[in-house]
Amino acid sequence: MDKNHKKFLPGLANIIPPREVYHHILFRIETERVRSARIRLALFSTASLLAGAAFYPAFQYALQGIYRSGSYEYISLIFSDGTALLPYWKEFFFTLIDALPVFEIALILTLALVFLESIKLSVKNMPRAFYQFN
Amino acid sequence: MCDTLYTITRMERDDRQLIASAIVGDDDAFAFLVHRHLPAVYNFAYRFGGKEEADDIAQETFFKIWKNLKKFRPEENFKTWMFSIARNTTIDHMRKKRDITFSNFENADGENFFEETLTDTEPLADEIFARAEKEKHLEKFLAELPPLYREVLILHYQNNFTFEEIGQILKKPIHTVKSQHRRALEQLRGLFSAPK
Repeated sequence: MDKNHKKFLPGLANIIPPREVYHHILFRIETERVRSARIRLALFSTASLLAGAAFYPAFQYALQGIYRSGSYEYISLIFSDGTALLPYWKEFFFTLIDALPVFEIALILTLALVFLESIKLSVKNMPRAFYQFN
Repeated sequence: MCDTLYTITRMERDDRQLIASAIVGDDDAFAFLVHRHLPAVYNFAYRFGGKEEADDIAQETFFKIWKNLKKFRPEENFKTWMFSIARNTTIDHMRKKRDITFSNFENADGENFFEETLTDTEPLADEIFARAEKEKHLEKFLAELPPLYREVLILHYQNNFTFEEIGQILKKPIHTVKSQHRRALEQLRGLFSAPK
């Protein structure tokens, strides 16, 4: 069909798109990129603020959990008479793990992760979110 | 010198490489894709909506392509995928304007086409193209064809798609496409022959 294609073309004009169509397309896409960046910035900033605000009470809660569970005494032993524990390090290690308030520790680690990730993503979206169109 | 080399290198990259770059955030790669394919999409839109609508349709098409770039499968033909979007965008756009009804594009009225699709259209095409070289009114006659037939001719002769690829774009079996192609050529011949 190539020969027909070549015959057909002379009678059928190839319309050249105006230059502004190209610019309109890129402008529209850039507008959408900026809009998406602003939405993401708003969401991640809010998440980082909430995670940051929740971190202190969660930290207090975790500390109370450590005191309540007896883990504090075990941890104190390490710093007060660590060498005496060496022959029994395995049993001590498993006892300490067993006593730790897992939920409270997981909570503050999660909040810390959310806070740091949100900050990172907020910073990543900032340049585009504050982009000024000429 | 380095900038020129970089630009030339970028322009030589094929569609898949540009898409892969665009997906990971290379804005220039998508701009190159637009630059490369805008004439074809614009021409297609122009044949159905004229200049006024071609701008809007082309914009909307590339916006949809950009939004759905991650859904593009590398084993697919990008041009076929792009024209599927262009066609659907054109239909939606023209339907909103009520200029063309949905059935103009979608009714495959050639239900009894099996014998016809076996007929070789080469002599008919040769006849038409011989006249088309001298015919000043080809553009006008093409615009008078039903959209259903017009799009097959444009995709095949202006964009070099095979009937199989056209079938993928239109989501129709290949024999339907061939039937529409034949009917399009017959109608075009009728228009050439009609008293002016």
